[in-house]
Amino acid sequence: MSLILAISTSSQSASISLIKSGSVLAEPLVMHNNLSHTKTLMPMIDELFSSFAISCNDIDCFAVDTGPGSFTGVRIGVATANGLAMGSGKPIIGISSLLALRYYQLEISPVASIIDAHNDNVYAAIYFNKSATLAPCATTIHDLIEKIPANTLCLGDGANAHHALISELQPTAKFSSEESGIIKASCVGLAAWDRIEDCGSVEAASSGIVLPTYLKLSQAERNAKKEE
Amino acid sequence: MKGVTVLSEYRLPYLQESDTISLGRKIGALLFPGAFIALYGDLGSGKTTFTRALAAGLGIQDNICSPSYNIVAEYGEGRLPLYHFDAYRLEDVSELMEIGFVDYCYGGGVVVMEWANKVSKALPRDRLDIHIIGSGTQFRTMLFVPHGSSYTDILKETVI
Ligand SMILES: Nc1ncnc2c1ncn2[C@@H]1O[C@H](COP(=O)(O)OP(=O)(O)O)[C@@H](O)[C@H]1O
Ligand SMILES: [Mg+2]
Repeated sequence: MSLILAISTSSQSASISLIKSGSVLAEPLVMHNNLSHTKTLMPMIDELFSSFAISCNDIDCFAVDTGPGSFTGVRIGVATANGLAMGSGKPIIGISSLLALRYYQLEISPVASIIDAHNDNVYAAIYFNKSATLAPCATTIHDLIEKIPANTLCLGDGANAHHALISELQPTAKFSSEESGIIKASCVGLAAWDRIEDCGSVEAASSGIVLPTYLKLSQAERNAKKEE
Repeated sequence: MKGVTVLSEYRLPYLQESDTISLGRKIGALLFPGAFIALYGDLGSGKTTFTRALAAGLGIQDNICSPSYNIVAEYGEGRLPLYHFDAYRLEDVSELMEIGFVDYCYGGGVVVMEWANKVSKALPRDRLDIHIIGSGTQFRTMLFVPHGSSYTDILKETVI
């Protein structure tokens, strides 16, 4: 038995989730401007704990969305999760927002996780089942589209932002609801659960502290469109 | 009014301080969530004076001063939040990134960047560039360069 508390604040929503042995027990979620995650996150956790009559000590492992995504949002989530894990002496697992998106619809392959990095840049990864056929990277939407195989389900706020262009250049691409633009903590928790299973134990899957995911946009990519 | 006009830049010469202020107020009143204004011009050209007028156009009454020492100042009480940046003292674009600059740009408020030439690599593609030429008691010339149709629309309502 393993109880995971998962946290995601890298996108336009703040969500937390309780995962018990691979199934989702609860998932409160608040939508808002990511500059205000600080105010929402701790009260949400308090409320979830009291509704299940549990405390930090009952959690076996923390999981947190390490981005890429909102700079401030990622830092709030990672700092909070590290604090809870250190305070309670429990392990912590970092999951990238791109991998979390993949857990949105695990039964479908291939899936492209696409997060908007603005000015036609994106953070992206492509998954077939649970392995990445395109490793997480920062690239331009045009370069990414060239790498998207036929019949790929495109998820994430970058897929929503560039829906028209992707459909034009890769007509077999599929899309999900607008809701796929947010990262759900349940997906972060399920990815962490899978990592524990794959590694054989919580200890092998986790670390003492997690850091934000950095995928650096090259200067050329940032400025590619400006040159026109 | 003029049919299809492709506007690349617009120059207003012989501006007194009252002209700079009234332009700022008019543009401020039309700014939208996510708007970005990049200001260029020497020390004393009137970037902060113009920003203060933009803020007034957004309904912000606070006394806006140059945020050189803190990189950014936030004003929350207007029609939209205003994030006023000053890049004068920045050594490197990374200093801007480390305070979450991108979140400010897409956070639903208005961003004004003084000394935008110092952080040109970090500027969003869609923005309004405003160059102020002149200082001291001279008349000012303002050069407006819209990047994106929303900014062309604002200029059509204000300076053209
Ligand atoms: N036409 C004008 N537009 C703007 N400021 C003017 C003008 N004429 C004189 N000034 C004066 O020039 C100074 C501009 O200072 P400031 O706005 O702080 O410049 P900056 O922020 O570009 O360094 C102010 O003292 C202002 O009163
Ligand atoms: Mg100034």
